[in-house]
Amino acid sequence: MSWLFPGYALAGVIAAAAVVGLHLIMHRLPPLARFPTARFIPPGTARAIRRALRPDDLLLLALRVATLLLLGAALARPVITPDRRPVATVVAMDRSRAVASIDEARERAASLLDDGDVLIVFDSSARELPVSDSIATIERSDAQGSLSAALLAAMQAAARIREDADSIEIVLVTPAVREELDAATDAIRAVWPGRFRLVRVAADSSPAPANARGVANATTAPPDDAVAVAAALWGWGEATRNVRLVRRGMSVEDSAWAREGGVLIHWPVTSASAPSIDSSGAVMAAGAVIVAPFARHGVPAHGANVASGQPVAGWVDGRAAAVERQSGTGCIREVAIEVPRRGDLVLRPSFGRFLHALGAPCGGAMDLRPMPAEAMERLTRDGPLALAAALPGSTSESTLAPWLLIAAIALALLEPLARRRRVEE
Amino acid sequence: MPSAPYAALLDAVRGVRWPARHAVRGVAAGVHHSHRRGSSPEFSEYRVYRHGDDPRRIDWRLLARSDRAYIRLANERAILATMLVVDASASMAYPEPTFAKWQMAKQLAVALAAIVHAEGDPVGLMIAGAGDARGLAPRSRRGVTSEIARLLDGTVPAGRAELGRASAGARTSGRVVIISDFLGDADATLRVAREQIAAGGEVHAVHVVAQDELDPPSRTIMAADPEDDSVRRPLADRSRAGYLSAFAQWRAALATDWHRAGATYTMITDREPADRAVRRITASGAAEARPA
Repeated sequence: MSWLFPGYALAGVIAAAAVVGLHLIMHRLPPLARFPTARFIPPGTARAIRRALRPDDLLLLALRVATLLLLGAALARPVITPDRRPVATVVAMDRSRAVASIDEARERAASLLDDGDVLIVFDSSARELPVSDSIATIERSDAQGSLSAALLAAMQAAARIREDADSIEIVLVTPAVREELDAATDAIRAVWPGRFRLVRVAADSSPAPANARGVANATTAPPDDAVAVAAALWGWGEATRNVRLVRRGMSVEDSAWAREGGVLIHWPVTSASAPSIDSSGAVMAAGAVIVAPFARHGVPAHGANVASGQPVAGWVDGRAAAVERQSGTGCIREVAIEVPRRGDLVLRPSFGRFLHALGAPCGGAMDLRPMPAEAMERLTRDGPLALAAALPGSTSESTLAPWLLIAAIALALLEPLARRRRVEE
Repeated sequence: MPSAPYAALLDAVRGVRWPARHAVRGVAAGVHHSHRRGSSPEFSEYRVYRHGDDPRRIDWRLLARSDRAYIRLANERAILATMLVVDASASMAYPEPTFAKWQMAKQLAVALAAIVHAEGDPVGLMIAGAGDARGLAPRSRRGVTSEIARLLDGTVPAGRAELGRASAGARTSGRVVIISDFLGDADATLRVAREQIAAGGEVHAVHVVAQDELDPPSRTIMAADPEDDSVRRPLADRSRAGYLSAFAQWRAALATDWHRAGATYTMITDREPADRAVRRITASGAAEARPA
């Protein structure tokens, strides 16, 4: 049991002790007793001081002491908590493309887990591994890892198990590479009131998939197609050698090409869905932003899953403008941005950067270099573990307090009756 | 036969005699020395024959020896009616819950009644409590002791007792025994007793005191007089000595007053064995009957 306001309980104990003391030193009328020869007693002070080692009004004393103790306990608001461990651990295990050996990551994570601890697995998104699932079922992912997603999921899990322990520790099992950091990571880190522990595993050092296809190959696009013109103008960059742009319907051959390791960008000229005009729209991809009154379309369906892939570009309101779906060893990127036929949008440098971002290798540009030292320090930051009581949503309700208060009131109502009975005696 | 609680006491006092302190004036034959001189076998003295004496009482042998006529005188014995006046006021209902003073008073009354009855004397009872006194006129028939016991057992001490008036109602008896704690109208009672003694009667004052009154418990209490609500005094350590002194002085003065009045005074505590108390009462002031 713990007390939300223990000072009140202490005050109740002190008040009860004071009452006991007052009952021992009694400045009051002695008990009335029949005594036939009372007339021979010298007239004296009616109020007699007497000190008794043991008060004879034990019932009244017990009622008063119990009332004060119950009142103090009620105001102190006791909370019955189950047996708590000193420390509970949330392990966030990286299974993204940055991990060299998933076995190593599994092994390190398993060694950190104890009964009642939580395992979070993350790549570009994070999820809690159910207790029933074995850690051995976790497979490596080709997606880019996101420490922001991992931290968010870990903190949510920590808040859920806050009643199980006095302190919560979050341990990151990750290669800690640069591409896993983003602009939100520091802000998310600042929310956590304790330290993180980093258990580093080996980063994948294998080169990027072989790109043997050469330069971008725009297909089924009319010669005056704006995007095709922009691609020719700006190119897809060093990292976009294995890119095919498809401006009309995809063919079987296009899909096969993607499965063999290519980056297929399916960017329909128009879409079957009715567009909505975004008067001051902006679309972003990997830091490249273009602002124009775009006509929005829904991300086209491909197969059975609509927009089930990884967003690679998004509108300013967060909705996906382009998604990437893995296909074999390559990927297909569905782009739902209608580029105006007229105007100089495609001629702007920002459009070129946008094209480069869209043409990045599957999973985005890999940057598996180790995290910078200052970023590492901001992430791990020495300090104490996070106290469970400091986490948001900690229990502040005392189910016992109302009952204790009712009991105290009931005893207080009985006290005058006991006092009257004492006087009559 | 009195009830079981008294059986043991009556067995213990069987054979105890309670002679009158003085020669009695009764006419009926009894066991007590009488003022009258009669022709009983108990020779007393010779007296010179006077004109009018019964010639049959002349001692002819003495006449032959002395040539003078003398008559024989003998002691007569008479009965002595005894009235037991018992105080049934609230002060006798102490200490709670046993009411030991009242229990002692009842035992003394029943035992003395049995002794008196065993000697063939009439015995009666007057109970002075709340309301008018009630009781039993002196009688010597069988079962009077049981009747007295029954009357006493059916009484609960309460209220104030007019002991003086009850004692006055017993004046016609030769012997009056007042069993009380004398915390009520002691002066009026003493006055009546003096009158009775002056008239030739015999008065015994039996003062029943509780041991707790002689030696109160040490705890501090607000002592309340059960017969006077206005009297409430704290009895604590510092007032205890004053109480003991005042109470002792009062008891001494009471004894002196009763002695001076010509009565016997016996103080009995509630913890004294009843049979021993009875013997002390019957033995106190005992004197041979003196001829008038």
